[in-house]
Amino acid sequence: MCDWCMEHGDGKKWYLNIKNYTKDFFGPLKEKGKTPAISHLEELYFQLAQIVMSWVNEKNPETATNLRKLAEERYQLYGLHQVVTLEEVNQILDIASPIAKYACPCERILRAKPEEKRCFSFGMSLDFVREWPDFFRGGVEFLSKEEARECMEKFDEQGFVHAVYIYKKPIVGGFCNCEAPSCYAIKISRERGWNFYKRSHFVANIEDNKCIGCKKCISRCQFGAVSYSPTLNRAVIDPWKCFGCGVCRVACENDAIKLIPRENFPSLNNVWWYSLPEKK
Amino acid sequence: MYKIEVKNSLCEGPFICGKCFKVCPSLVFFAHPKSREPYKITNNWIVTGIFADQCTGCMRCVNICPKNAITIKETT
Repeated sequence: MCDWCMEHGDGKKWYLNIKNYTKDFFGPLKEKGKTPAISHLEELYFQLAQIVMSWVNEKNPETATNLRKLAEERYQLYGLHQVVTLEEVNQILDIASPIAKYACPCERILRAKPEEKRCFSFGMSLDFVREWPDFFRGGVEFLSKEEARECMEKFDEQGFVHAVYIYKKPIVGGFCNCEAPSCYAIKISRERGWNFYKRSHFVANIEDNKCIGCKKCISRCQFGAVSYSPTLNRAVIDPWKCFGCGVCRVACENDAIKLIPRENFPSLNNVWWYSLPEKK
Repeated sequence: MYKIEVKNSLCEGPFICGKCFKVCPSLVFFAHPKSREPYKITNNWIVTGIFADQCTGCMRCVNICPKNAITIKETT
C-alpha cells in the first residue's frame, strides 16, 4: 500500500483526494516573510546537487547515509514526483482548476533550454505567477480542460513520462512531463539510486502470445525496463525496473502491453522507488 | 575523477549559448542564477560543472565552447 495514500488519501489515491488541492499553504509562509521552496527551485536543486557531491566525496559511510537521508527528506517534502498514467491524468484534470502550463525548470537547469512549456501547474500556485517570475520564467499559458487533455495526449505520444508533483507535502502542484536524463529527479534517481522519483500504482505487463517482437516499445522506456529477448523472440519487461508510466504501450500496434495494478503483485506492493528493498 | 572549471568571465551564459549543455552525455552542467533578488526575474545565470564525478572526459564541451571557457583537469 502506498504510504502517501494511507496518510493523505482518505480512502483514495492521494492525488485524487480533492482536499490536497484546496489547502492554503502559501499564506502563512508569506506572512512570516518566508518564501516557499518552489520560488527558488534552482537554489533547492543546487543545494541538493551540492549534497550529492559531498556524498560522493564522503569517506565515512555513516555521514554519507545521513547526507542521502537529508536530501531525500527535503526533496520528498518539497518536490516529490509520482508517476501517473494517462487515465489518471484525465481523472486529475477533472478535479484540478485552473490549469496552466509553463516552461520546465529541470530542462532550464540541466539543458539550458528555457523555452518549451511542458510542466503544468494547478490552482493556488498560479496566484504567484507575478511574485515568482523566475520560477514561471517565460510566463504561463492558461488552458481549458479539453486543451490540457489534448496537450497531455500529445506528450504521451511523444514519449514523455507523466508525474504528479507537490509544492509542499501533500499539496498537488501539477504535472511534469519528464524524460531521462533531462529530468532532475530521474537523473538523480538513475545515477545515485536515490529516492526522488516515485513509481506509479501500476506495473506494465506484456501478454506473451500477443507480442510480435517489433521492438518499438523498447526505445520508449525512460527507465531501461524493456528489452528484447532473442530467445523468446519478443519484448520483456523487468517488473522490478518498471515505473508503470504506460508510455511503452502507445507504440504497441498489437495492444500487447497492459497496465496491471501494483497491488496485484504482492512482492512489488512495497516497491515505490528506484532503489529496491534489500534482498538477502 | 575530473574537475570541471567554467570561467564565468568568458562564458556568455547558459541561455545565450548553452552549447555545452546540449552536447554533454552525462549532464554534468548546472545553470543557476549567480545571485537572486526575491520576487524578481534574474538574468545573471551562470554555468557550473557540478556533477563532475559523472564526467567521462570526452572533451566534447571543451571542443564546442566558442569562448574556450571550459577546462577539464584530471584529479585523483
